[in-house]
Order: sequence, then C-alpha cells, then structure tokens
Amino acid sequence: MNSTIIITAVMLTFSPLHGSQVVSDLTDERTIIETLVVPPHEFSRDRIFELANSFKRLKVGKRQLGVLSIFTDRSTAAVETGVSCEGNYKQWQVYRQQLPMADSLRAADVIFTRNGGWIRLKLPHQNPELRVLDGRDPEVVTIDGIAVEIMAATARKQSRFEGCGVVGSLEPVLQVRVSADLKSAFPLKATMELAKALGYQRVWVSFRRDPWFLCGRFGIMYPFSSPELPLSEEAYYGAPQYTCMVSCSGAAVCSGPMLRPSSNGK
Amino acid sequence: MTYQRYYAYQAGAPTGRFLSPDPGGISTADLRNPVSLNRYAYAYGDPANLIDPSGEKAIGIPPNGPITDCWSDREGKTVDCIFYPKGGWTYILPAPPKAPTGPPVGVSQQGQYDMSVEKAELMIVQGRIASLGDCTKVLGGASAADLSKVANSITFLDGRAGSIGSDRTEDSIAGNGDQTTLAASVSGSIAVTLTNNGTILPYVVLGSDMYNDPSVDPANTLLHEVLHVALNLGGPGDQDLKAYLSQYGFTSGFGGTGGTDDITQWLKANCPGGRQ
Repeated sequence: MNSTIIITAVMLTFSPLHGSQVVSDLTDERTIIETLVVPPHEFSRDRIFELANSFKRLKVGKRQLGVLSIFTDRSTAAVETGVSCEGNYKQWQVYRQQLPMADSLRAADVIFTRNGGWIRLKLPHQNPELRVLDGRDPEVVTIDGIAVEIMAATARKQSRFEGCGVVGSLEPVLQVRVSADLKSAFPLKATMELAKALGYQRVWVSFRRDPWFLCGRFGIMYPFSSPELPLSEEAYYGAPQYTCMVSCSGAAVCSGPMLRPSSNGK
Repeated sequence: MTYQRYYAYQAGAPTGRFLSPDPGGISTADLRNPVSLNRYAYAYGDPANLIDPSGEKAIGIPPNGPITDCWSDREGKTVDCIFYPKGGWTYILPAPPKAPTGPPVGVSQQGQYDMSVEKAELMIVQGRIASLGDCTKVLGGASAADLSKVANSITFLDGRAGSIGSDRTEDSIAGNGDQTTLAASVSGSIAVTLTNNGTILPYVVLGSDMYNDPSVDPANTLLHEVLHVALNLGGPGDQDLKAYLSQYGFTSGFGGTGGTDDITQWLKANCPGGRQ
C-alpha cells in the first residue's frame, strides 16, 4: 500500500507535462543550469511561477546556484543562451536583429542563489518584469555601498587545464550591473565578495555599468532590457566592461576595461 | 503568508530598479505550499534524452584513390603537400555553389574545397603551436603537445557567404538547436566557436575577415580559437580568456576585443623551448 502511494507520488511529481522540453542541462552537486522550452500557449505568468517553484523544489534543492531559462522555441533558446559572440558592435547588431521582435517575445530567467530567488520575465506586449520569489532583493549584493545586480548567471565546466579545482565541475559565470562608474579596483573586490556570497571558491564575473553587455550570454540584454532602444556604437563601447575571476592563488584577477577595439582587434 | 513579492521592473533605470512594490503579492501558487507540488512537475525523466541530438557529423573520410593535397599561403605560394597513397579525403557536405571571393588561406590543389580549408587551417595552427615550447606554467598544466591534440580535434569550417556557411546552420553542425546559419554566426567576426549545452565544441567557423582582412594573422587567430576550445572559455569579447591568462601574468596591450596577436606573443615569451 505504502509503496503504491510512493510510486504514484513519484509519477505525479516526475511525469512530464506535455510539450515542455529540457534542451540543455548542466548539473553538479552545487550547481544546476537548465534551459527549458515550453509551447507558446503554455507560457503564462502562472505557468512560469509553477515551473520556477518546481525547479526550486525538485532540482535546486540545497544547491548554491540554480538557473532556469525558459523560452518558447529551441532556436531562440540556443541563440540567447549560447556563448558565441566575440564582442564587437557589428556582430552584436547581427545577433540582436536575429532575435524575435521584443514585443512578442516570451522569455523567463529564474535564478536561485543562497540569498533567495527571482524571475526576470518577458511576456508578449508587456514590459520586462522582475519578480522576487524568495529573500530580500536577492539579486543585489551591496559592496562598499555600491549595488551589484546579478543580471544573468550561467556556469562553465572546468577544463583539464585550470591548474586547480576539479575537472568538469561547474563554476558560476555572472553578468552584473553596478550602480556606479566602474574603476579597476572595484571589480577585483566585488568578485571576491560575489564568490563569498554565492559560496564558491571560483566565479567568473563580467561587470558593466548598464544592462547591455557586450555579447556573452545574450539573452539578458534583449528580452529583459529596453529592446526598443538599440544601442548606438558610441553607447555600446561607451561604458567599460571588466571580466574577472578568482585565480588558483585565491586572488581575483581581471581583464579590461574592454573598450572600442583597436585597429588590429576584432 | 507568502514569500513572493511583486515589483514593477523598469529596465534601464540607473539606480531605482523597482517601482511600486505590491504589498499583496501575486495570485500564484505559494512557494511554500506543498499541496501544490504536484502541479509543478515537468520534463524530468531524463533530460539528456530530451535533447535533440540532431547534429550531423561534418566530415567523412572514405578512400577516394591516391591523391596529393597541397596548400598555399595567402600569396599563393605552396606551403606544403601531403600524399595519400590509399585515398584522398571527401567531404560529405555539399560543394559550395561557387568559390568564395577573396584569397583563401589554403587551397587544395586536388580534392574538394571545404576539406582543404579544414586541413590547411589545421596545418597553419599546428605550425604556430610548434613554435611554443613548455607552456605548463602559464596554461594550467597544458603543454604545447596538449594544444596540438586539441587542434587536431577541431573541425574548421568555412563560414563565408557562398560557402557551406550560407546553407548550414549551427544546429546542423553542433546540434545546439540554433538555426542561425554559420555565415550569420561568424558575421562581423573573424572566427567563432560553436557551443552546445554550455560547452565549447571543437568546431571553429571562419569568417570573411579571416581571409580578407590583411591585419589578421591567421595562425594567431587559429591558436586563439584552439585556446577557447582547450580551456572551454567563451564569454563576452574574449574577456574570460584574457582573465584566465592574466592570472599567469598576461596583460592585454590594448582595449577592445582583439588580443590574438598579444596572446601569441605572450605565449611565445612564456613557453620556452619552441621551434623558432
């Protein structure tokens, strides 16, 4: 009798809802990054909350970072979550133009950290929303009075050539917006603070003054920002961008500021 | 009691990100309500099997009779030839409708164009890797031999318009679901890698600038792409790669997304013992 109940409960819990498809899934004991495609007619605010909640309950659990990105078709999901843009304005324009019109776009990014959880949501014909699921402003870490807002999170697998750590383990990769002008000392300190806040020894962080990052994980720049205002080349390169990591020595290192390419750089 | 809160979100606002918090929360299922758990399930059976493995292999190497393949440099001077006594290489991808414009990096004198591109690029980057010696102190333990193996694993694809780049999508190569054509993916760039499920795959798509921009050093660019694959580092504007190298003392000499030449020079200086 008991076993019947358990089996039934498991079936109820794990039976796939029609139409939803996990199209990518990076997981280890501390991190889960998942991309889900749901049919357009299922993409509603309530449905996204259901998915977010089930993701937290069933997959994130005690992990330190969980990210669920939800789209309505696989191609858009691939474009928006892929990392293939090398960062120049021309290519950025190409990527942006390939995406569906913002007004009709459906997309959601669900992020859970140790500080709580939140959803960035874009529904058709509506402005982007940020909804806090758990915690108090969990997407913001304040460092020296400067708000550092996590705009996007994903992870990378450690390669064989890291010099430390565990091959294949996942490391958070964040894109953050800061509330002040970027100076070189701040990203170094902020990287260490973000690693501590997330509970990882190593993190990778791209810092930007505005929400428009130079490629990278493209999704956050388009569906969850102001798509009706495409950046000019001047504005694109106008704000510096730093990318930092925690090195094997335990100290943060950064590259940047990334500015307009010189003549021999593309 | 609900733990959900709703804020109207206005992107682009410089400091006050949220407007008018809704004290009543939203009318969705309570996060802490176990009764509603059974509404939350979705495709959890086996995510790996839910991913459409539609990627086609881009190459095949059936025997095709004895053949000699040669490659020329940008000026048309022959660089090297290889004789295959048991047969040449055949590409399973369709031949391009017409040869792309611009001087190719390598042109096979026999055999089909696409395959020659791949082999020519491989030869070029292997030559550059051979100029490196012991890199173990600056590449997390990777030796030049390791980089050589990684390079051997890479398929180099001609992404120019008029080549396979026009009619092949990323998905057809990488199985990542991305219906962008290779030509569009590499548009505006010299070369790009393909990714799937957060991993950089051993595919490098070459754009027209690789062939037409005189400021581009093909060998340095290809080595740069090998590093992307070896280290599984993408990220905006190569910044992740540069951050990784900076822990070993690399500093980029200029702003922007360039750095292929800088990185090569730095590796040469820090990988002693290579072929000069």
